[in-house]
Amino acid sequence: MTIEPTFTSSEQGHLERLRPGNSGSPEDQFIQEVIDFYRYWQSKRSLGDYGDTQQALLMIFSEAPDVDWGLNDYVPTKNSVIRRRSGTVSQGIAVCNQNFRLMVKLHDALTVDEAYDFVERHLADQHTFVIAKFGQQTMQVHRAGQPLDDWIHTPDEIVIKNTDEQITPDSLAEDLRLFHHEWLSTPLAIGARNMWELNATKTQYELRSWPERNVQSYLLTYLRASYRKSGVFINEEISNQGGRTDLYVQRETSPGSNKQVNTVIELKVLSPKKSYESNLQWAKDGVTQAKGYANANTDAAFACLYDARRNKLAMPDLPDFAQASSVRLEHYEMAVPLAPAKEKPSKVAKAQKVSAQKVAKTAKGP
Amino acid sequence: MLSDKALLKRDYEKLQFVRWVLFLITAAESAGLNSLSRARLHALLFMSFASARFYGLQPLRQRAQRTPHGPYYRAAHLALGYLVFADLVFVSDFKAHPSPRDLQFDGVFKLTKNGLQVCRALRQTDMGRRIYSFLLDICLGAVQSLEAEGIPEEKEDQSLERMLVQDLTYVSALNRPGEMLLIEEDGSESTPTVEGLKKIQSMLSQKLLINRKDVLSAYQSILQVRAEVA
Repeated sequence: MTIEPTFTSSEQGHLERLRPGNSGSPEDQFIQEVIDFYRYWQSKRSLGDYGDTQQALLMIFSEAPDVDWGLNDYVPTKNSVIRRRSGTVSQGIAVCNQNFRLMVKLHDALTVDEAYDFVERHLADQHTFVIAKFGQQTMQVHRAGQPLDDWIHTPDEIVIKNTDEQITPDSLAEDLRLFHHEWLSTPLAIGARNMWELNATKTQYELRSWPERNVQSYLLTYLRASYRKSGVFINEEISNQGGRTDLYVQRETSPGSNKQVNTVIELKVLSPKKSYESNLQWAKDGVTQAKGYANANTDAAFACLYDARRNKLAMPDLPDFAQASSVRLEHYEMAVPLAPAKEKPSKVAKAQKVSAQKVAKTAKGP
Repeated sequence: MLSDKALLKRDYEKLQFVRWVLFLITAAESAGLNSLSRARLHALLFMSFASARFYGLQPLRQRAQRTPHGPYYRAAHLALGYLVFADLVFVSDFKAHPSPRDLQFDGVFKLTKNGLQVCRALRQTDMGRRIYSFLLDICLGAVQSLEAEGIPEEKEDQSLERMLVQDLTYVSALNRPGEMLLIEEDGSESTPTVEGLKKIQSMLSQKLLINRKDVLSAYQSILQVRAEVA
């Protein structure tokens, strides 16, 4: 029998001071590190001084920068190590791992235009990278898999806020609404445009697989950039099971109180491919899960439905179901991209077809 | 090691071990842990086997050899040899040992580009992904604990060594007689490390929302504190 270990009161006190680390995929954690990197840099400058608006810091994710930068056709003239807490680097090109323990600087001075030029020449769809424009307080994020040709013209841009407003369930609801408006409301919105693809017959757009994971990744970045002192946290153990995708916003009840309060956000995407009943059940699952993951320190549990159905039929039972579960139900519409227009055969093509048929008939003879 | 002949059970077990060692070296590299000496690699292996069940994984070994340099796995040593000869891992500071059985060589091990590619391929399976994710969390947790404890960069190596020998299962195994360091008692399917992790998880989750890797990190922070006191 294994003896239960004991921890001294001093060790238990030590545990209370620890905070969770970044969560999400390695790429998501890399993006969160870029936000923290910027915030630390900003904290070292005088109030209102954001630096040169022309400068850019291009940060490229690499799983193991000491082994492989992932850049096939670029050889820097020199490279150097930079540190996460240097507080000095605001321009250049750097390759970094997921927790920023390894940061290799490949290039020093860099303008925003030069950053785009480098991206077009040396990076591809499979790269995850951020063009951090410190002077403009914005970051442009490219996640692996996004078509770079489209991204370069309309990059996913995030504004990094430095305010410390008190977060309440109502203020969070407003941020969720803004996030939906900016990222998911139309097929061309920053996030939604990466979530749709043409079906096999090229007649209709369908959602790519695991749309909740896309929404989770976008929302995680959006909220991390919005809240300076609150932890935005993904339950990694849950996200691996059947598309359950939870996100928490965790913060102190008041600065220095060391008492935590959290808000649970459950994300569900209603699919155009599923039946009304399946979508209704999916939505109810979201409500049940939001309720299930609330704990004693939870001030509100949100079930956010992103409605990507073609026919957005009302679900009249749902609000009562959510209310009975003490869950705040938020319903956001996602517009479905229009089906591509069928190509009508041109007059010339028609004439050629008729002419070919005539020739065939003549060749056959009477 | 591989050929077109039928794979025997013992070959399969060797392959499992080689995969685990390659994953651990990759995870250490990805988390930014400094140089991986033989002793550190074996100590990390011991901790990984002692905590595997916390992630629902079965440990590959139930015992390690007791040596003056810490826990030692002959299978890991052979695996390292395979990985080096296959150009998946590079060894520097090579030192040969005269021992006819165990410590044939020492050195500092680093992943190669080929090793990274092979690791990515092996992570495509569900089990491969789960094992790698666990080992990465151990290594990320080690780095997180070094940062949480404010260990200066020049002292990180020393601090990590001292932390690893404070592992609850290792301490418990050292206190038993015999040449072997036992991980699980017969039939228990748990270890002092797993019990410690569960207890920390229970304490932390009363106040915070946490992932398992935060528990691993908190556990290593406690071991750091113990190492300071020892």
